[in-house]
Amino acid sequence: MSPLPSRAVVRDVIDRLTVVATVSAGVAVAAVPDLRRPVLTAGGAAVALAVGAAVTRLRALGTLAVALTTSSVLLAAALDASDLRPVQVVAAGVLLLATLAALERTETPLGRRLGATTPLVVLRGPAASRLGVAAAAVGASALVAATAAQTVVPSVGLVLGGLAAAVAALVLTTRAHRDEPAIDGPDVHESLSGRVPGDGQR
Amino acid sequence: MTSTTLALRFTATARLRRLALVAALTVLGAVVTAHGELLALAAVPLVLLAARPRRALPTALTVSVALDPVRCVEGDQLRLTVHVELPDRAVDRVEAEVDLPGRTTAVPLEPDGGRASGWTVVPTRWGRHRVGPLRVRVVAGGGLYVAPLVLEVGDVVVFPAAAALARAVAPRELAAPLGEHASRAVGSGVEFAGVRPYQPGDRRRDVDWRTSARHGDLFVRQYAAERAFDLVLVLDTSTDAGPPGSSTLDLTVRAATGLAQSYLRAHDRVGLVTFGGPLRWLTPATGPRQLYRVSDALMSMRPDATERDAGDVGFGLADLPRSMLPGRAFVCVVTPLLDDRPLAAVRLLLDRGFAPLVVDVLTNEPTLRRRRRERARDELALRTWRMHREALVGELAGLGVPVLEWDGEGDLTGALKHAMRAGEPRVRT
Repeated sequence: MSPLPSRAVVRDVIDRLTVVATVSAGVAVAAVPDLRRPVLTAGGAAVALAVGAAVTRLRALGTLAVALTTSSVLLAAALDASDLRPVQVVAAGVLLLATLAALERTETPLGRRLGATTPLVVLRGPAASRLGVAAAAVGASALVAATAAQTVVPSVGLVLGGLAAAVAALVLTTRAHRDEPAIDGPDVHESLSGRVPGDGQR
Repeated sequence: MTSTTLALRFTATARLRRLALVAALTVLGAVVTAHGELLALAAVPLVLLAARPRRALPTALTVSVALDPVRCVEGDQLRLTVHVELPDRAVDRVEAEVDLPGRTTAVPLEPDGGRASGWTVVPTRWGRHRVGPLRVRVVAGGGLYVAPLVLEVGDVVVFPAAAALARAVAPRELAAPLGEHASRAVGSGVEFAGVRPYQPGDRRRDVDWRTSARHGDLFVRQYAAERAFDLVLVLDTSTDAGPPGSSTLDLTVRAATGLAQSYLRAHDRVGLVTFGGPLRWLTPATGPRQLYRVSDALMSMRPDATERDAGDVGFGLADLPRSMLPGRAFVCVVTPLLDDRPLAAVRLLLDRGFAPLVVDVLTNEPTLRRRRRERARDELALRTWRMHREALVGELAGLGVPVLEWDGEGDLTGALKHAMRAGEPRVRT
């Protein structure tokens, strides 16, 4: 078996460094300009977990790192909302997305498995649809942040309405990803053995 | 190329769970602390999750896999192509990888239309190998879902690369009446064999006018008769020593393939006997079909430890049918000479009136262990082993059997010719 290509090793190292860098940047965005002990503690733990996830490739560590990064932003806002400007929140969201992408690449087994070919991308969807959704998400985040920064007359109804809308969005989104019943169709083994007539075999 | 439509069963990826976690944490944090601005952070995962609902995922995928050709020789290049079809391109990407048999390399095919669609597979060891399964991974929903698929590819038959043999050489004493080898008997061939005085009934065109003019009497040319050659390959399959690809069994198979190809091409008859493992034989025959039979028999050769360790059972060679070893057949024993059994086989062949040639295919010596204490013991064992092999070769030489060393690289023709002459001193030189 040929040795692992050096390009794959370099890419893997870059992905691991990206995990640590994006988590550190997310924590830094949350922590500045006013350094507070709870935020620093949560942020420090997030960075430590990110290093652990980058080294061990353990999914659980990666998930904890993401959760703690999010928590450090939440803590910063909860302790003093004036410290966190809208651009910081949006930047934290973008960095979280980058962390998720880097974590995913790091957790994927490196290069080829023993005794197998190099994984090959035989089909790729249009880039516009992939990037379009991410851009829309960041745009929506910016819109919400800008709206939240407006000076409006505070009213209980407004606050409650906004929060109820957020909760409703969360519930609806979760329902959109609820596990559906199994699809009625040939499973892999049936198809391969040719026991299912008319399953598309030509 | 066969197409198979497979149902896709998607499972949530870590990305989906993490986005849901971030969204839930943020919304919860915003509600608990009553900070609406935190919802800006929740907007990112919420939009990503809402934009890719589960019902938008594709339900089936059509995959075509083709391996061409499915029969090849060691070192040949095979094309393994994968083609994926989706009703609409509602996926992020489709990745594929294939499990390969040992000592097989694969490089992606040159991109055709911007994307590589398969591999060039190069098997470097003979045998019947299973290529696959093909593992396909469909990533959809912006990386939120993944569906793994497993698809069988097929078997490939890799024939051993033949040993280099420029031409088929044969001894001069040949029995079969029809063939392509010039024998020492006078006949109606094309190779000049000598001149003799003219006798009534000789053809006028055979008169050698130059010799006749010199001697003042008529002389006619004589030609060597063209006869066929019976070659019986006796292969020792008891051991497979050495690194894969150049092990003793690999060299044995390659030597046998080269010899069989060359002599069958010259319309000779070739037979095959394997000993050491299960005794198998193939009665000598000629023609392209025999080459396939020989190749097929060689493909199933593997060392059989059970029979090897069962003690000296005479290899069963004594029980071979008489038609298997026709009189005046040339017997070539291919063996790594690692124990006394080839010697016993040679003795048996000599008793039956054959003059065998031994081709020694052992090219590597055992490696020594590194630790000093073990190394000293190993060196002693190695010396004993070398002496045993030398004694074996010496004993074969004492029996008048030539031993030809072959490392898998050189041309066997010259060495074979030399060995045939050494083995049969009666042949004309």
